[in-house]
Amino acid sequence: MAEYASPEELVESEEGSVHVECGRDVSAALLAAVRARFRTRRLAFAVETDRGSAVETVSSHLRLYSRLAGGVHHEDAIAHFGLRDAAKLRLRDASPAQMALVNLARASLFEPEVCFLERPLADLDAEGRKAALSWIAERVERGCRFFTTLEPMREALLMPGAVFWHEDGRFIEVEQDDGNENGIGENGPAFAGDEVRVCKIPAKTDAATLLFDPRDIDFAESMNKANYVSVHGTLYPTPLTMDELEAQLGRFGFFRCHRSFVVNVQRVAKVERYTRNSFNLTLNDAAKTSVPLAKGRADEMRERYGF
Amino acid sequence: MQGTLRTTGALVAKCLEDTVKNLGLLVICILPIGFTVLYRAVLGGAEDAQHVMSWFVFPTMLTFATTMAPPTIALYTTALDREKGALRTLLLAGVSLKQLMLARGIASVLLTAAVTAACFLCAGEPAHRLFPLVALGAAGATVITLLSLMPAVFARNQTDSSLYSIPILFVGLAPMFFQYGEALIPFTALLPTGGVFVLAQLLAQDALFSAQAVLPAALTVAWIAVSAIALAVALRHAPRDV
Repeated sequence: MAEYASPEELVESEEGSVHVECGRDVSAALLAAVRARFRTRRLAFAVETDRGSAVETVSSHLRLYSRLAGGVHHEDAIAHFGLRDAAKLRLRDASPAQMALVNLARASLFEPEVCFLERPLADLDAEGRKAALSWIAERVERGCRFFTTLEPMREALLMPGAVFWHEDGRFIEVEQDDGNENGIGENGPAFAGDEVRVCKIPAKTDAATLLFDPRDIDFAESMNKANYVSVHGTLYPTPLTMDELEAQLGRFGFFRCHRSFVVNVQRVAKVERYTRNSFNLTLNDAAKTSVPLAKGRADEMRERYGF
Repeated sequence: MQGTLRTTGALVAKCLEDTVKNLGLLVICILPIGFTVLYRAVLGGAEDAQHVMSWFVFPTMLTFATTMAPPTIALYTTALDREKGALRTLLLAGVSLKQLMLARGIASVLLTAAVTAACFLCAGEPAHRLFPLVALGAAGATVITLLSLMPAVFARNQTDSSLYSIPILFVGLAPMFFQYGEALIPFTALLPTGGVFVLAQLLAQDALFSAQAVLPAALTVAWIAVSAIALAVALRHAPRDV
């Protein structure tokens, strides 16, 4: 797994698109490194603090940047990112999700060769994520190199390209899952006849140990060297390893869709494909959470569940 | 070159559009028109009304017009954009601070010229004075614009812009106040907008191209040059927004 000691080293590398789970300070350092390294290329940026002027509407804001970019017409960007209903809305009245889409639409106007995005998916709903990821995938296909900073890791894993996390000043690559490993759940113990088997998944809070019914769990996730289960939109740390979670939850309809994720297939509402190599599972929870599906496991999922 | 022109044109159009859409800013910019109408109504059919209009009121309104719009457009809007994060967005999009300042400056001068023309129409001045008056308005606005852009480089927020605009307003309106002191009147032309004020008075006497106009015209050009140099120095020391 690759490791880099500084943002400059990471940016200089030939990793292609790079997505980093990190805080805001590191994000700012990466932005500076990208600007310095690619100053002669066609660049586009979308950062969290991006705003237009107080009196601008979505349409006038994008029209200005369309003129500055001299590229894509702003109406095309408005259409792609689903901003038609919000076109006349003043930016100061836009919701965080709408503002996030406006920032991405603005970046798209430049048809960039290199694009820096800060937390592009953070405030987006399912439709917005779809628009964002499909645009990113399309640009990657055309040779654009993306540098994104995201939290949590789950969002980084949805992106096409290499994923890193930042720890102790170093950028450490996340081992991407090609699905060659055999899931333990495949060979897990079968439910035998009348035998009653109680299964509770332990999770920790400050004051107590919670025991969750597997049917209440949406997915399990490995993040920052710890494992979590998501229940009703909240992540709870669990002492179980991902393999143990896969083994225990496999018989309740869970599937190891990624090295870092075990998903409750009953909760999966949609399977989407943005590029040759990136798949995405959208859950039917309130937040319409997106979970990555590793390319190598997509076939297995298709065979097992028939979709 | 074409790209720079396109960028500057887009920014100038945006600046003018934002000013027109912002009711508060618009009122400040067109206040001189209102005062011109008021003065004309107050003077009414007085015997020397036209003389007073030409000799005092109109140069005063010209000074007023050249002083109100530039700090509003150049200083206040830049500080507001910096405070709200819009400036950073523009800089990340490849627009340089110099381009932005240039665009704000052009918009400021254009709007002032338009306000001057409107004041002219309201003042009932003879038609042949329109172009010279608009030219004087543009010249005066150029000085105040450059003086406003200098603190705009450093203003972090609206509070800063309000603070920095106070001395600019005093400096710009000073020729008006100098008329109230007999001892001060001879020094009017030395002020940043004083040259334009004196030239407007000469225009009222149809003496704009006389020898008396040379000194105020030269002083106005000198103020433009000094302000431009000061702005260039300020831009070299501009804070890093990105």
